[in-house]
Amino acid sequence: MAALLKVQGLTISFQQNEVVKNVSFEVEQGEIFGLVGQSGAGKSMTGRAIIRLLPPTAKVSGRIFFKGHDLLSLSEKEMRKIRGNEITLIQQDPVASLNPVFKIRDQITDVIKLHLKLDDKEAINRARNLFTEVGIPNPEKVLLKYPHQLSGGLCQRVAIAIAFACEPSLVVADEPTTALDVITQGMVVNLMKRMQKQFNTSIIFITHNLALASNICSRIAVMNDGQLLEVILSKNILTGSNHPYTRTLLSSLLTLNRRADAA
Amino acid sequence: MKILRVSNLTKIFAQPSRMLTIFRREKDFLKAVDNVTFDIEENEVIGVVGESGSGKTTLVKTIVRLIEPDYGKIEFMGKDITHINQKQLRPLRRHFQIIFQNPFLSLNPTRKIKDIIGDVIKLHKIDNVTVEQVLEDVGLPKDYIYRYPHQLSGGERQRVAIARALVLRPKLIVADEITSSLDIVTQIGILNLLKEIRKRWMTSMIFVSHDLAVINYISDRVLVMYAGKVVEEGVTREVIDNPRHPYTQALVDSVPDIEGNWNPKYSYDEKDIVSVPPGCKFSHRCPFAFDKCYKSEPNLIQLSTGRKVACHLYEEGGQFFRSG
Repeated sequence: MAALLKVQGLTISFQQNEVVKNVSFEVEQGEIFGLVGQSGAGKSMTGRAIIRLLPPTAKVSGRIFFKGHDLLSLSEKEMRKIRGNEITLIQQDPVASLNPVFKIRDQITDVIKLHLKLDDKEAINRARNLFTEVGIPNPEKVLLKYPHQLSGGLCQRVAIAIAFACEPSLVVADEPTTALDVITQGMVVNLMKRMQKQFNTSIIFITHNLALASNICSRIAVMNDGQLLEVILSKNILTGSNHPYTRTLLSSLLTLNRRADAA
Repeated sequence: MKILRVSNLTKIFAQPSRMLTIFRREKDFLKAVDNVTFDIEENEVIGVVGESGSGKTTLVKTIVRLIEPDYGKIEFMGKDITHINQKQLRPLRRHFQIIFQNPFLSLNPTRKIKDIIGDVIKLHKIDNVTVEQVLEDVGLPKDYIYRYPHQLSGGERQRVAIARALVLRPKLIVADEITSSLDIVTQIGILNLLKEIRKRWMTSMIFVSHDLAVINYISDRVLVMYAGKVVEEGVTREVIDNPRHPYTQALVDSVPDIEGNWNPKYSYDEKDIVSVPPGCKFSHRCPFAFDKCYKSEPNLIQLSTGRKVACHLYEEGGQFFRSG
């Protein structure tokens, strides 16, 4: 399979400070690719560079090929056709990533109308179907609400619906479950896996939780201090890594260590 | 010795929809904490686990009297503190300290670490500990006393918050989701620090978290809360190995394990907690619910030594009832 996304020598710096150093990796079509590391490792910056949403003061070098085009050389106008359409972003804080002054309906239909060129009625229809798809009870009611009227888990479902609205090729999911509690986390992860299968989308899943990543990603890239240390197959995570930092991450992981005989 | 004894503690909040008391109906009230009873021994760590909105934070804030309880009784070291006034409460406060979830909000951004901790020392007239010493105790360099909170990372800030509580050498530390905003490497550092504090000063702790893996690492006993009620109570290891209440089972299922065979299964209903059905509050999400569950609310019953569960399935006539 040809790589959907090819990142080559990506370096991001703020003034003299290099936050991402010479990072290269590839993401295949239909793959869930994990980016794992502590806070400050440069995971989010890498993700944001791909969707070109870095702060304007950031200096970026290197190349990011998406379907053969270098995203970093595109003009903002060209990028806008891709952003929200072919590449989308799911952010960490679902309440903050939605605009508090607009109804949910406007926020999702804007994306649909812009990229799919549908009229109001069709866009609302599509939004309603998407909401049913992501398991939002009462889509009709939720469409008319403001973000603050919804719970965190529900907001994240809306954000996922928006991210998948135009059947994107690539979704950058930046710690989508960190702000949620464990039960909601399970539901959101299952949902993302299902959507990914349905649309054969690739997902870059950014998280600091190695256990979570190993459960949903096929490959995991471990980052620390701006550098990509290694890319490892999830199924080999326990045995296949000799990198000391991956070992550190593994050893700080808390699990339940349930006994096999437990009923 | 019992450090803390909480009996039948209840806190009711009015829903904002009807502000005028005379117009309020039963459903305009929310029982955030509903008839909670438990106690803590010296040097024991109790975990409180449950999803967002289950009343964990309200429970612990009520225990330290930051929220006024409506019914029930709180006894701290044998003294009833449920309704004593602030003046009587203040000298006792040094014995029970709370650490909050968000270290960005719980430290005053305009003051140096020296003053943040120094104030506590002055107020309680502590003379055997200095700010430098307590910073060392929590693993921070001494020269941090001249820093402001914004100059520290999240983990370091949380250590300052712990130092502020620790300087009083409290008998009980209440930790409310103190690691949920930290990444896993920082988290393990904080948890190890708490373990060390407990060993060194025989401190008791109430540790609140939504993550059972964290509770498993730090606590001896666990209270599982759902919609303001304790639905299961027991030794942490036993509860995790053999969860009884269907909600506890769901919580255990939802922790990812590294071997990659994680499969959280759960039905979802948005109105989950706030609009509680009559009968068992968990019934509309519970895969085992039968007619009784929709009619009457189960009480916390003793299953075996130290193990309690509030579920009709374990009562006579229930699916999992075992006599004797």
